[in-house]
Amino acid sequence: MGSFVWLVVAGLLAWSCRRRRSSISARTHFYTTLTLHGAALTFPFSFQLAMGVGLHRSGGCVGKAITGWLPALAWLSMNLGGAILTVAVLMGLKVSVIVMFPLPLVGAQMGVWSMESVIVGFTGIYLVLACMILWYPMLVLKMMFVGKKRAELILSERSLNKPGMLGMLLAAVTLLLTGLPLVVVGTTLLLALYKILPMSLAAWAADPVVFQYTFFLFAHNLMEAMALMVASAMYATLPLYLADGSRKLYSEKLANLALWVLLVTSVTSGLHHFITFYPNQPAALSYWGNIMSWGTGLGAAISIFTVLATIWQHGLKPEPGIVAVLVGWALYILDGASAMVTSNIAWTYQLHGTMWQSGHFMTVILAMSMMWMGVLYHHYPVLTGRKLDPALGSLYIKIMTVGSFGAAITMLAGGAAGMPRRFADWHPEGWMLYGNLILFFGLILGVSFAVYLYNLMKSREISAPMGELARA
Amino acid sequence: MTFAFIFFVVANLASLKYIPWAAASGATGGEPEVQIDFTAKSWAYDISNRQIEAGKPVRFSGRSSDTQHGFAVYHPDGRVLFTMLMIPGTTKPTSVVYTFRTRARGGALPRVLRRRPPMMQDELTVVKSN
Repeated sequence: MGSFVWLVVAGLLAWSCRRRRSSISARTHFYTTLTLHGAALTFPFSFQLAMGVGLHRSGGCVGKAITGWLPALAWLSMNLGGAILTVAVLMGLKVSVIVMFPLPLVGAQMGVWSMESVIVGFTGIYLVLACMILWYPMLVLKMMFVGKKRAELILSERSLNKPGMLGMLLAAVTLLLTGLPLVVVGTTLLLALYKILPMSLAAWAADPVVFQYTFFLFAHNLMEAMALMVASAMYATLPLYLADGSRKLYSEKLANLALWVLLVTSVTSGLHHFITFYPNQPAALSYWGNIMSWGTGLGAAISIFTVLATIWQHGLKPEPGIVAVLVGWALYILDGASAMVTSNIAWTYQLHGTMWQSGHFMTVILAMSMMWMGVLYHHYPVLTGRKLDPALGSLYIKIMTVGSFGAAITMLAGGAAGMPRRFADWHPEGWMLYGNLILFFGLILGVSFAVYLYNLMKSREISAPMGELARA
Repeated sequence: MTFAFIFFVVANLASLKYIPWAAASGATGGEPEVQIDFTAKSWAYDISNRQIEAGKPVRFSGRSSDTQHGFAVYHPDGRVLFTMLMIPGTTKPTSVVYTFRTRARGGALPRVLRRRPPMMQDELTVVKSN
């Protein structure tokens, strides 16, 4: 539920962002609110939602409780980190969600923001990263391999080689392994900022190229890990809504293959972030990043086939939960197409730095969040003993579909037309049409989230005994 | 799956000739490159040359003196011609080779050079070659 608090915060920031553009002096605050909006949506909303629902789902598959100091530490690290980063931005730190290191230090050296805001900001970012790279993966691995299974906690037992569980494990390992270099770099820098380590010993970590490549090795794989988690959740949830009651995917082997292809190709696909850095990133690495990026598309193609074949073969009971998951999946496919385009070397030379990138990033976060909200919708009765209103669920889906696809297509179209990202002067540059459409569809999206949250708040007690829900 | 794989291969192979470094290797045709150097900083930049002859390959070489910077050249109609990424501390500049064309009916066609933040904008002038 903490994730939804941040969703509301992010929504208010988006509205504030749009208002901030209305005067020249207020445009300086545009970058502040944009920074907070992006950071709030990516980490404490989207990742925390995935973490919370994913852990509950996994716990119910392996019969383990999500209790103790480690889950508490993960929650605290994410939310406290987000709050501290918010304080830093309010102190004047204005960086994009990708930090653009060494911009934080340069801004302090130039007096644009204070060094104190940089230290506070880095502390917040570090806590958020620690949650995603260390505490959450440790929690998943502990849950899967340590401790005794408790039969009373099992909702629907699954082994690790089932697609519904495999993705959770692969995601945790990906986060841990690709994030460890960033933990080393980040810890070194933080210790230097707090003067625990002399800056001379931290100079290697502060080298911009070292930091950027380490950052994107993790940051890109964070997105792929979140995709693995949500694909797994879909593979687990879809069979429960098949019309013939078979509860079987078209092919579990294909579903697992899709997850493995996504994992293997995504690890090095993040090189596409540096294509326009040529020749400092050699052409060979850019070609590799291009090929691997399109390779993740092959993984997605196998998933698309598996999902469609499953529905074609067994039929679907179109309940709001699974429909929300599938609409999110469709948005994820649209985003995948935008990712294929922008990871092609020739296209990236024209799209990098435009609203296409912002649209792509927003769409993938939004798509995965929508899928998790669908999974939460499915799990809500088990979690709370309360029943959701299917009419409100359907209304949420209709409004959310219009808002999400509209916003995504508008941002991608703006980027294709050359609209720069992270840029306040829309009017003199002729981008107001896209700006107004982003606002329009963003408001629609906000209404859809309000309907969803209203449904959660208005849910009624379920009269049926709890045990029957798990088998429904 | 087979169709997806074939599409992926064909689409990426077809894009090869549009990749700046690949296009540059064929475009120069023995012509010497015109060099334009620039250095980006927060929040200013230096650029060596703003006038370009149409039809001659131009090598844009950029460095950053402080932090990560982006650099983009736009067509006056708003299309992005190319972008570049500069990170400080590199031994080599980031570079792109591009050949500007005039309109079919001839005459100079100014191109707009734009760097973010938008207050850092400039114009390149493309003139007909003699």
